[in-house]
Formats: sequence, structure tokens, C-alpha cells
Amino acid sequence: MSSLVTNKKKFQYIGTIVSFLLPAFIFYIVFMIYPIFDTFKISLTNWNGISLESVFIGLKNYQTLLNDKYFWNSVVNTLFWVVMQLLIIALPTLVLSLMITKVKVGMSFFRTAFYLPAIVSFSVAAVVWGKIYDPQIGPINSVLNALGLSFLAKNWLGDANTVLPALVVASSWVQYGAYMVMYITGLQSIDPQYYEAAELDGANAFQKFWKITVPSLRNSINVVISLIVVNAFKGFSMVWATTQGGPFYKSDLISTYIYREGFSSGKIGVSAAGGIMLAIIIVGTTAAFNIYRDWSSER
Amino acid sequence: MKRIIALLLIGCMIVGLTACGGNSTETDKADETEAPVTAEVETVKVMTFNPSTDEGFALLEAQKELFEEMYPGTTLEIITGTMSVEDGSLVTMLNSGEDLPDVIHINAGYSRVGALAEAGLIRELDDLYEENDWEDKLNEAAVDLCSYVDGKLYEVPTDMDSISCYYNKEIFEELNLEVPETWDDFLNICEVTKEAGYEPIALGAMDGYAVGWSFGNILQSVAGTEGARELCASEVKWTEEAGLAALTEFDSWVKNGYFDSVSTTRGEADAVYAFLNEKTAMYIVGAWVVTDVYSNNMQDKLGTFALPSQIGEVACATGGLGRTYAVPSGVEDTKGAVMWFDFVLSEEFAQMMAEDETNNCIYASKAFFEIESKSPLLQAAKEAVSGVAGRNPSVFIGTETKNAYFQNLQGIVAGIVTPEEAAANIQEGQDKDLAEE
Repeated sequence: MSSLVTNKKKFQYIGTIVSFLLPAFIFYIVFMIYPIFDTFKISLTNWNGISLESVFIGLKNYQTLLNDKYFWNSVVNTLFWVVMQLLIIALPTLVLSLMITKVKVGMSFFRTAFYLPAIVSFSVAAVVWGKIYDPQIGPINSVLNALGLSFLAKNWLGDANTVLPALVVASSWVQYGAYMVMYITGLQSIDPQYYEAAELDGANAFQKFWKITVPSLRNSINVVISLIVVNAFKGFSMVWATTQGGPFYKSDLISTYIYREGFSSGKIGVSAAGGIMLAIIIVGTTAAFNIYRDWSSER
Repeated sequence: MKRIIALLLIGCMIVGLTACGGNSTETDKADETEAPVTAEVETVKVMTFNPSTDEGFALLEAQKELFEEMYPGTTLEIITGTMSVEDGSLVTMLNSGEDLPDVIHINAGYSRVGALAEAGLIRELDDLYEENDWEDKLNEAAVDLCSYVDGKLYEVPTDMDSISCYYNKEIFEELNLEVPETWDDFLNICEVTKEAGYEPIALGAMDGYAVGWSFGNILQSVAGTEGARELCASEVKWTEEAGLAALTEFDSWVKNGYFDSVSTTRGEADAVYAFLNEKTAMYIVGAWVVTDVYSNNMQDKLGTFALPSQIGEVACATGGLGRTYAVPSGVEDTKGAVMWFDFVLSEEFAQMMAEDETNNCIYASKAFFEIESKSPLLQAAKEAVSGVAGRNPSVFIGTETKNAYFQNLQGIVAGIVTPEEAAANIQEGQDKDLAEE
């Protein structure tokens, strides 16, 4: 009898857990997991996105991608994009967060002001930055010309050498706020006694930053770097809304290549294969970073 | 007590649902008594593009009014949408087979009409053409530009593009310039306007299709109507005479500064703005710009001409079909579609469109071509495609060719690729399209 009661309670306990988890789990399976498998299935066909039928062609779409010089061009551009975003965002955002937390008057104002771009959509930011970069009426070139530095004024989004860095800067601007908030949260959790002790030992600002702040923020930095990398690989909106991968593929990323193959060329199969390959790259990169992080923390 | 309240609420819900059902039935019965339907078709449903302006909505209302006047007892229901084949919304609707309109209005071109036809989503129309003599009611150039799938016709063209060179009359007068009759005259205009400080030709190179308008007109001038047709139909290579010559000419325009050096960062809207704000002397664009011209009250200051031919042909505009109508294959009774097509090919429809000064469409019916349009600009654009029309390559080339075409034209404007490299790259795209056929 007591075992019956125990079993009944156990069943009720598990049932309660399952009933709370089930809706989210079903949602996750239907809208996240199933589409991944469906995408892989589509990547093995020649589906054009219009017909109800498609033909199984095996790994031919993957072969097509690997043989396409424009796909490799997009891979190179994407890697450049990721590295640039890491350089522009990871450390400078930390420095910015530090500076904001040190401000005695107006900290809320600066925190809000630097966070505001994060609430702007990429498409809106693309229009704004398109005007900022305008070679004739944009403020960047206007200021450069006014200062007598016309030789620095470029056709930022039309020049093969400047288009990608210009778009990286614009994209990074939108993301600064979100990462800054993560760092500020981490900074506020550091015990100030560490800094007091370091000051007593004669540590300068840089030493306090490198020996106390950075190690204490290890987890926040790991999260920020992971998010920067993942979001950079998925970068699409800023490029598509401004240059659509041009001029002449110079700003073409894997995501814009995939979009063009799918929706301009009607090659959903190839597009799906590109999506799977991008997912593999992102997962591989993130996994490698996590392995490195775990290995370096064990040392 | 709670159970009684719950039962009462359920009862109210049931009564409410029953009442709703009763009302619609009563309304139907009332309709039958008050207004007996005499028309063969009660409702004709047409799905068309969402207008972007108030004038566009007003035009749809006017069309509805005229249709219902011409077909008493029949209601015209106009549904608007993006009508994009590429974004999947239209295809999803057609595949669902649910609540299909009698007629859909889409952008023309084999990549859309052909794709839908090959997927079995739109109906072949040869039988309806024969029964209703539509070919006799359509402009010959329009019929020639239709997309044929296995020799069969799946569309009734709505309007034709007419892409030619629009120019600012005041700038021309200021610089003592006249409409060019030869190619050298045209190049002279470009040089003179450049030296006077104007941008000779507006270009929105950030939008690939906009660059294509200028290139298409150059191709027409260099290769002629038949040469351009052969290139668009992949009968000749881009690395051969016509394609390479046109790309080289295009490159020379860039190097000579006939396009603004910053046009790679300018889209179509920016180019229109520059032209209508008198910063540029000329703009190669389609007749759809007429609406913007009238909105900016520039109609008396602008004129249009076709680029002179370099091989002695009569100058003509380039284009293709703009938009076209098709019938979803799930539509069993085509009477509604036939009524709509008869309407848009009618003299009454043509008259109404011709009288609308802000109308920017060159309708494909013979009736429209026979009536003088109230807008002189549109009339001129119409005359430029009334006999023979050149081809805008963007509309006729395959998808891989088109991707390469847009990117390489932008590359030429940005100084990244040479004409020879562009020709080779576009040819690669054409080879991929041919390999897939």
C-alpha cells in the first residue's frame, strides 16, 4: 500500500514536471529542431521553392557550393567580418563599460545613451549609416573635407577596400549596448576589496584591470565572445539593407550568398545546403572556443 | 453554484453562435428576395499589387467602378498583396488551393511565369486566347515578349516597359543642346553637360536592376534589336561581339565620368531624386517614373528620347513586359477570368487609363495604343515601343546569368572588374543556366 502511494506521488511529481515542460518542449521541437532536420532534407534535393515536388540529388548541392568561387569569397568575407567584430566589440566594449562605471555624475545618462542603438533594428540602422557614409552629403566626409583631410574621404560603401570594414563598424554600433550591459553586470559583481588591496600593494590602473578585472569577468567575457562570434556569422541585415553583397561580391557574406541563392535564383536546395554548412561552421567554432576555454581554465 | 454559472455561460455561448448563423441565413434569404442575381458571374476576384500611393488606390477604385458598370450584377473584388513569386507568399497561396482568386497579377518574365507554369500552379491559356480573340486585341510587341512554356501561353500581359532616356529640357536649353539623332550627338551631350558641372546621367548603381536599364539601352544601341534578343536568349555568348562591345561602351561611360562617381552608393530612389531635383541632365529609366514626375510637378520640364543606334537601326526604347495576369490552375470556372481579361483589353478601360495623367503604365492592349494619352511623356514612351521594342536583359536572362550580370555591372561602375572580366563572369552564369535546362 505504501509503495502504491509512493508510486502515485512519484507519478504525480513527474507528471507535474512534464506538464510544465511539455508545451515549451513541443514548441522547441516543432519550431527549432524539426526545421533543422527539414533543412537538411531539403539540402539533399533540387527543390526550387515553387513546385510541390523535388528530386533527391544526394550531396550534389554541397558539391556545387564547394566548387563555387563566390561561395568561398563569401566564406572569406565572413571570417573577416567575425574577426573585425571581435576586435571592435570584445575589448572596447569592456573598456567602455569600465569608464561608465567610473563616472560619478551622469552614469545613468551614459548607460542609457550607449544602450540606445541596441533597440534600433538593423534595417533602420542600415538606412541611417547609409546616409552617414554617403560620400557627398554624409557627415564623415563632410567633416573630413572641412578639416582639409579630403584625401581620407572615401566612397565608403562603394569602394571595394572600405565597404566591408564600414559595414562592420555600422553593425558593431548596433550591438555595443547589449554587450556593454553584460559587462556592467559583471563589473558590479566584483568585490571592491580586491581593488583596495591592490591599491595598497601599489598596483596601477592597468595592473588592476589586467590582474583583477579581466580574471573576475572571465565568464562574462566568454559569453560575450561566444555571442559576438555567433551573431557575426549570422550577420545579414546590415549588408542586405545597404549593399546586398556588392559591389561585385566585396561585401557578400555566407548569409547573403545563401539568401540570394534561395530567393533570387530559386535554388532552395543549394540555399539549404549553405545553411547547414554555416551551422556546422558556427557550431564548430563555438565548440572549439569552449574547449579552449575549459582547457585554459584548467591550467 | 460555480457549475450553474458555468452552464449559464456555455448556454449563452451556444445561443450566440446559433444567432450568428441565423442572421447570415436571414441575410442570404433577404438578398435573394431584394436583389435577384442576374449576372452569369456573381463575383470576380482579382489579386493585384498593393499600391504604394493614394493615387494607386484611387485607380483601383476607379477600375472597380468601371468594371461593375460594364458588367451589372457582377461584383469585382480586388485583393492586394506583395504578389512576389520570390518571397513564397504567392506560391504558398497557389499551392494551398484555398480561396483562390480568379486572376493573379504578377511581375512578368520567364523566371516567374515560367516557374509557376512548370510547377503546375497557373493555367495554360491558349484555349481562352482562341475563344476570345485576345491576340488580336493585344499589341504585337507585347505578344512577342510573352513567356512561352513548351510553346504554350500562360499569361495575358498587362503593361509593357518602355525604358528610354529622360532629359531635363531646361538644362538642354541652357547649354544649347538638342535631342540627339546620332550616337556622336549623344556623347557630345554627355561631355557638354559634364563640363557645365552637371551629372550627365543619373544612375542608382546600388540597385542592380537600375544599372541594367542603362546597360540595356547601350546594348540596344550597339547590337540592335536582333543582336540584343540573341544575347538575351543565350544564342550568343557574352564574350562575343555584342555583349563585349556593350560592356566596353558601358565601361567607357564610367571612365569618362558620364555617371556620378558615387553612384555605387546610390539606389534607384536617390537617382530619381537627383534627376527630379535638376542635379543631373539625363536619366535612363522606364515610363513608371512619370508618376514621380507629376508628383514633383516636373512634367513640363522633362522630355524623353530613345538612345540613337550605332548600327543604323531606328532608335527604340528597351523593355519587356512589366506585369502580367495569370489564372491559378485551381480555378475550375474561368468565366470570371475571361470577364476580367475582356475588361482590361477593352476600349473603355484603355480610355480611362489614357485620361489619367498620373498613370505610368503602358497597357498592352491595342486599344490603349490607339488612344492618345493625356500625359505627353507617357505618350512618347508609348510610341517608343508601339512597333518594335528592344529588350531589357534583366527580364529575359536566366537567374544565374542575372546574378552575375547585376554584380558585374556594379563591379564595372566601381572600377573593380574590366569589361572582359565582366563578360567572362556573366558568361559563366549563362553556362550554369544552360547546364540546368
